[in-house]
Amino acid sequence: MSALRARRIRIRSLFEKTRHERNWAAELDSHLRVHIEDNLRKGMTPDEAHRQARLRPGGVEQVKETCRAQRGIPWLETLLQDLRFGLRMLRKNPGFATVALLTMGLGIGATTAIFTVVNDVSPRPLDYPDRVVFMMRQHPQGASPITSIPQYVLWTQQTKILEDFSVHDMGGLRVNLTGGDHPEQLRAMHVSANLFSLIGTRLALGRAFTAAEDIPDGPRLAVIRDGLWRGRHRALGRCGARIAADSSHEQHAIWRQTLGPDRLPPHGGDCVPRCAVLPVTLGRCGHLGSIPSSHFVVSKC
Amino acid sequence: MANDKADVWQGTLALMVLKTLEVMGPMHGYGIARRIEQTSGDLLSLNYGTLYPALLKLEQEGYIASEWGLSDNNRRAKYYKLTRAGRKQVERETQEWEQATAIIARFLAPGEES
Repeated sequence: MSALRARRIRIRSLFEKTRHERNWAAELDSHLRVHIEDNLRKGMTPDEAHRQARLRPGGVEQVKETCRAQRGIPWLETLLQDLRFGLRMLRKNPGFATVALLTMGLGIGATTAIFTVVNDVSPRPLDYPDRVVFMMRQHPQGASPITSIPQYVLWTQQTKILEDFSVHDMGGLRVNLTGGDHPEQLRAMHVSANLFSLIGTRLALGRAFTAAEDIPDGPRLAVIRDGLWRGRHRALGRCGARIAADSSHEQHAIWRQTLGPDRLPPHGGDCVPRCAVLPVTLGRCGHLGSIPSSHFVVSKC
Repeated sequence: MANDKADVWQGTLALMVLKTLEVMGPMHGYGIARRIEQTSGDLLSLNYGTLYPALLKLEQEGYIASEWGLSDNNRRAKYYKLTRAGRKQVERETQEWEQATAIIARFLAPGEES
């Protein structure tokens, strides 16, 4: 409590400096006088009494300095002094001040801009990279990531070792984006519905397709990249435009998402910002077994 | 001559000041210094570079209060007196010191423990 009180008084005394200085000078003066009188009483000559009184306490300025340090908050006072001095100097040299301010402003601005860009484009690791595995199959001819949809379905039903299991294709598909002022050809890849949750992708808007929609002859859905949505959202609306896998199959309801290149499975790494992600079985239900799919696995054990 | 005298040890001055004020009543800075030197049997030398910062600190902590008054010779002087918090502090610090010296005494005494 007393320490708190002392601190409060020290802060307050920052604003009452002249009063304190005057008070202190008076006290010092009275101390000297009393001392001299005391010396005289002891029988010293007036000169000797004065001399001894001044000699005894050590340097007066030193004492003042110690008391000043005890009274206020020295580092704060020095800081304020430096600030005042700096401001005075800046006011004295407006040219220099302008250049200094501009330099600092530019520096801070550039650093912020660079950081923002780098932070945006630099790959972010998965939330649980040590639990994600990429599965390969061993053939007599060598290893390969290729599998088939029936095989994938079988694995998801039978495996107990892996927490979740997802597949995607190589991303060679081209789809046409229609609607808006001009059509556009996009690259697309098929992924199984659980891929988004498996690699921890958060959608910026809307939702991803679900397992129930990832079925033969299911609804025509696509998830599009954030970059594409930003570029064409006027044409696309919030989620109303259409992507056609080919001229006969139109994809309704588009959701944009923030799936970055780093968040795509290894073989989808070339899925550039202008791309769409479609359910794995979409439109290909007739020849399920023929879709080349690499498989992507996560284990959360 | 002054060199023979010890300086006041760190941390002991506050208690000396408080105790002096408790015994003597309100005093000015010079009086306190003199009294402490006398009480120590002139073994201690107290210059005001040590005393006044300590007084200031005690005042900030609320253990002593000061006001201007007149000395015996009708000189204006700043008088320090003990506050109620100061009285409690004297008690507390006295106890602490007694305990500390008792402990040290045990170390200095010839070994008695089993």
